[in-house]
Amino acid sequence: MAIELIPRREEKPVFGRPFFLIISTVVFVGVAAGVLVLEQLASAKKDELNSLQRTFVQDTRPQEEELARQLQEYRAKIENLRLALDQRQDVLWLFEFLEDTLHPDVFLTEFENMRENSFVFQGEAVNAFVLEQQRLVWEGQEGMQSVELKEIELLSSGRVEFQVEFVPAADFSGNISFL
Amino acid sequence: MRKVIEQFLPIFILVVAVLGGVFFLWPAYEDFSGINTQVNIQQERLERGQRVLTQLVALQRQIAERQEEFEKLEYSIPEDMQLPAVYDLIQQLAASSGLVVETITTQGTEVAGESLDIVHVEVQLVGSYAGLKNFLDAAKRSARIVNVGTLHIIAAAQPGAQSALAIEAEIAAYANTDNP
Repeated sequence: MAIELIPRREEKPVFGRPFFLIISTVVFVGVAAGVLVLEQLASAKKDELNSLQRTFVQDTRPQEEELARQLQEYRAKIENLRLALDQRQDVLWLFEFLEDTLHPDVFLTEFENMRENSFVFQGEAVNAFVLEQQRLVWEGQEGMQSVELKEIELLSSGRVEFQVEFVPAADFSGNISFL
Repeated sequence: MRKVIEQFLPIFILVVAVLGGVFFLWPAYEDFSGINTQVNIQQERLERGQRVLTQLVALQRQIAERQEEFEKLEYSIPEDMQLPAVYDLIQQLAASSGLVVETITTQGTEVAGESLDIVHVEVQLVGSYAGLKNFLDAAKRSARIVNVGTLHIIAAAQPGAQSALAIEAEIAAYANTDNP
């Protein structure tokens, strides 16, 4: 056996090298396992997503659309009812008002309600004094926004022809009930 | 050579692992995360849909409980105008009120709101003041909605006498159109 003059330093096993190798391998395996696990999870989630979409499109959505369509129809019908009832004008209260307030010597001969919330009568009074009495009675009534006498014409017989326009206060014609 | 391999193998494995992490693990995580977000959104959408569905079903149940009123509603404004039926109704209302119908003519039609058809008919009637009041009251109470619009009333006889009235009434009848 040869004896070296200068002996080589004995190489000590480096502790870090196998440790580093183990760590690297663990990291590698971890990464590979992570990829596999994540792919599996993603695949499972995809199936879940497809199932949810199928439930939504095939079950919930058609039912919802059908019910919404039916309710929409009812809503439209109720809205139409409201529109129809909004167009309703009641004139009976006016006739009852006149039955209570018309002077015995005043006669109404013609009526029309061509404008909304305006009621026009043609009439005749036996004389101008009676017409003035009638005017005072009408003007003192509650619920009328205005009572206006127009086109007053004194006839040779002493009778007076006139036109009168009633404009009721907004809340006077009463409520309309239906259903 | 072996020494070199021993020395560089861990580095090589680590580099491969890091590259695998960057090019495979991270995209796989992003992919999973994206799908997971979609699943959550879809679940929320489905739950919202179910909640809406529950509310709609509850509303439908309420409607079913008030079916009688809704049947009245459907009679009051039918799906079809049924113009001859409107004429017949006006004639019946007049006859039951003591008025005589002279003519009924259709004036025109219009659409109100989104789906309400309106037909205007002009009716000429003759009768007493009491009959007129009865007619207006009966029209107001009619199961099928008819609205008396403009009225033109002329007393046919001299003032003071019990006179017959000549009445022109514009009456509106309604129908729901097919396309709300």
